[in-house]
Amino acid sequence: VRADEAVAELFAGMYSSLLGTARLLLDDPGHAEEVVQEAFVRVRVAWWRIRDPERAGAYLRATVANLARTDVRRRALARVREPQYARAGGGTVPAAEDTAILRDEHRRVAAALRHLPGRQRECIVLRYYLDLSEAEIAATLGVTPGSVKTHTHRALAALGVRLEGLA
Amino acid sequence: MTEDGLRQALGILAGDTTPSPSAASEVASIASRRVRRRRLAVGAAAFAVVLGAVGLFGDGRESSVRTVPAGPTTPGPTVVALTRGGAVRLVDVSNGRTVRTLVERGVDGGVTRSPDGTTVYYGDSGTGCANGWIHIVPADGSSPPKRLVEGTRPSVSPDGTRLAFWTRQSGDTGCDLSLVVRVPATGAEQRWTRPNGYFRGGPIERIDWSPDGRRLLISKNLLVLDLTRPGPLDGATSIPLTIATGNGKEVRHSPDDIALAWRPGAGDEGRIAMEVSCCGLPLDESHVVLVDPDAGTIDALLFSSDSRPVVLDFDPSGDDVAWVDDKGRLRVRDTLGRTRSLGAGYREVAW
Repeated sequence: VRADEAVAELFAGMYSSLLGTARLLLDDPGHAEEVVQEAFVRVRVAWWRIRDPERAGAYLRATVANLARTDVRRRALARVREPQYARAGGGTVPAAEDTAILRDEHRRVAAALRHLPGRQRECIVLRYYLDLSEAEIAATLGVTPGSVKTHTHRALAALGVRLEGLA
Repeated sequence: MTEDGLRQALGILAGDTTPSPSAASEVASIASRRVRRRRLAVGAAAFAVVLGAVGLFGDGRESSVRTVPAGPTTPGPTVVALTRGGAVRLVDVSNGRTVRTLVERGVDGGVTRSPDGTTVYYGDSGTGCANGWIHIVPADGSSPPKRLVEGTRPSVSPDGTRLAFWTRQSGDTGCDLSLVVRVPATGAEQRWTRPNGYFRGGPIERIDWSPDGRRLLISKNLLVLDLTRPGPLDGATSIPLTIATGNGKEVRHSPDDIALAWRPGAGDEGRIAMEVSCCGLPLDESHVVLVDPDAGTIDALLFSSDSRPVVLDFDPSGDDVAWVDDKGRLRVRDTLGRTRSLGAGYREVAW
């Protein structure tokens, strides 16, 4: 019961930010809710192994990032390989940038974000959407803070080229 | 665009993130089902171990293989690993330390564990047409190993009530190879024989149960045996796994030396996890994919690794996977996607 309550509390506090993160990390934002749901389920099932409940939020973020990365790879595999699988995975929801309410500037950001390599995209989303520190991003992605700094710097440079004027 | 502008744009691109009213209850419901499934497997396996303890299991003779005395209680989750030297060890998955050495040497016919983790099964491969023995030993080392039955490559069903293994016997022109499914509590057996199926000196394949206990996966040949439909043990039941390439051609994946295991999943059927090097995936990495056991198609990429898995095994929930790679390194990937190296010098692993 304690684990259920703890996960319910995490859900109330983190679901929205994780859903936004997943949408920004995935090539197909329509899968974001599944990814976030799966992350909460895994953390609940593995709750007994989380020695420090204070870090459960960090585990959740790491799980969402890992699941999103796997989903992106899986879709890349499907695109290369098996047309019928790609069709079977349908139900694609239009990306947010395709909706009419977005300004041109936001469409360009979305397109530029999609062109970034996976790790760079993760660093940008965690830094500028979740407002995590370099140390927190490093812990989430399982890399060193130096690596986070490098990826973020390269990502900003790439975005700057595409968007012109970003420092 | 400034950094604040980027923040604002990302916030807008993330869209409306209000959870649906049923989202929280769906998470609780799915998690509860997975926890229940895991507990059910553990309980049923404990029943099988009790049968063993009261003497319905095994012939009671002490094994000739030396073991070390019982040690302290296992500190955390472990896997049972077979070293290249033939030792059977319990290895702590959090740090790779050997919690207990159950057998010091001489094991070469596979290793596995009951679903509740309390009993370890291991086999001798035997020589020629002669069988080795399958042994059982408590995982806490509280008593010495006992011989269970003649055969090799043991595999315990998910509910802990049946044991699958191979046996050999002399045939007309060579060794006949039989796959046996035995209920230790009653002695009942099902048997599938492949005449002349064993080539002297060749490897005998691993067996893995489907999560629902209705089918067996036979490694390397990508063979799935439906226990509800007895028939010959031959290529007729192999999965027609074909993989389409980027230029539209289909290739049949080579069944040699691939790591295979049945992964428990959301449904009772589960998926088969197998290592592939194909399909446009980067060649500098090895990739483990999930395959639909009926259609033979790849469902998803499970994970990629810088070395090639040769033996895979999943914990009963299907969330954690342990493998031994082609360099003898033992690795574990947990439910959060973190991979840990648990040391080198291993040949096989079972959860």
